[in-house]
Order: sequence, then structure tokens, then C-alpha cells
Amino acid sequence: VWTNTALWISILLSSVAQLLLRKGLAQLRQSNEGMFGTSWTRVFLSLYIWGWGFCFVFAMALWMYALSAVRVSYAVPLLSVSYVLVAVLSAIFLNERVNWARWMAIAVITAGVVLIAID
Amino acid sequence: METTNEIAATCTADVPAPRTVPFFGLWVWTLLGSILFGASGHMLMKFGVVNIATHGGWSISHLFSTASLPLLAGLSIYLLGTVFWMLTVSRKEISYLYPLTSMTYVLVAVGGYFLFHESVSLMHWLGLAVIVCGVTIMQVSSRVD
Repeated sequence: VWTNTALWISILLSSVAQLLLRKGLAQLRQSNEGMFGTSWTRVFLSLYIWGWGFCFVFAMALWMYALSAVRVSYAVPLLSVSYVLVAVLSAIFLNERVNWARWMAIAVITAGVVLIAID
Repeated sequence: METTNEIAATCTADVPAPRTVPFFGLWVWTLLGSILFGASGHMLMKFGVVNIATHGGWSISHLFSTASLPLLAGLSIYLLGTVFWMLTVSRKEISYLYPLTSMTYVLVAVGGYFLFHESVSLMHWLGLAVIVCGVTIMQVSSRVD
């Protein structure tokens, strides 16, 4: 039970991490223009970027903990759930417009990852 | 306001030349970079941990020997891939970009097949083909509506 919980929290956290990264970098980019849109100093000062770092590291730790207990072929297909999660959460919190073609692409890519993993 | 009209730019000397973006947008190249560096980082790390295991195993003294160089190189390249990922994410929507990272699976499978002579089953190739189809649909998705 605990390993399954860790697995799902890890997937949720890695999705949230990507959202935080996007939010932070998009925000920094809005105020500036240029190659990166901002300086590295400001990237390191951004709370969103720190949030991304913490979520990423925590998700990784939980992932490795879970992997030690469950089969890889069970864990990896669940990873593709994060593509759907990122799409849903970005539509809700970042106001990204996810059209039907994008939903279809996400579904197909998820199916592909599942095919690899059930092999 | 930048003009893309080249004639206008050449006629007036004090107007800076328009920033020309060669081929696609910059984010396409940083995305390719992040996927390529991510995949090759993974493969170098795999080579690195095997290399350490065959050269006396894990210990503090080995950590600073040449046996751990491939692993350190793999980690550095993976980090470089992350930097490229940050550059990409700052320029494009995450619901579009994130599923495209599944191309890493394709590259790692091809690399594992040719470099490490790992067997890749028919089912695995099929899954990779489906991923490539999905990535193609994703390209179409940014052109509709």
C-alpha cells in the first residue's frame, strides 16, 4: 500500500514540478526579453523554480523508493499518466488552451508508453 | 516594433537588422537539444555504472579515479539537457512540450540497440512507433484552431 501511494504521489509531484517550472519561467520571461528572457540570477531567485527543484527531487526519491518494491513494468506505464495530468492541470491553472488534437496526441503518446512497458 | 521586411531594413541605415530566426523557432532547437542530451546522458550513465562495476566496484577511492569519468560525463550531459529543457519551457506551453519528452524513450531504445546491443522486441518497436505518431499529431495540434 505504501509503495503504491509513493508511486502516485511521485507522479503527481513530477507533474506539479513541470507546471511550476513553466509558471516560473513564463513569469520571468514576461518582464524581460532576450535569449533566455531573463538572467540566471533571477532564475535562481524565483520561488517557482525552487518549488520545481523540491518537487523534482522529492518525486525522484519517492520514485526510487517505489521502484525497489514494485516491478518496473508496472511502474513505468503509470509514468505516462503524468502527460495527462500536466495537460489537465495546465488547462486549469495556467490557462493553456488544450485543443482536441492535443488531447488526441497525449492519448496516443500515453498508449505508446504503455505498449513499451507491458512488453 | 521589429519589421520583417528586409527591403525596409536595408533602406534605412539606423534601423537595426531584423532578428532572423533560422529554420524553425529557437525553442525547436533547444527542445531537440534537451531530448538529445537527456537521452545520451542516460546512455552514458548506463555505460558509467557498468564501467565502475567492472573496474573494482563502488568505493570512495574509485569515485576519484578514471573509472568514474563516464558516469560524471553522463551526469553533466544530463544536467546540460535540463538547462536546454528550461530554455525550451520558457518559450512554449507545457501541455505541448511535456509529452514530447517521450521521444527520449525512442532515442534510448535506438541507442541501446546499436551501442549496447540490447534486444528490442517487436512490441517495443511498436510502442515507439505509436509514440512517434503521437508526437506527429502534437505538431498538427499547434496548427489547428
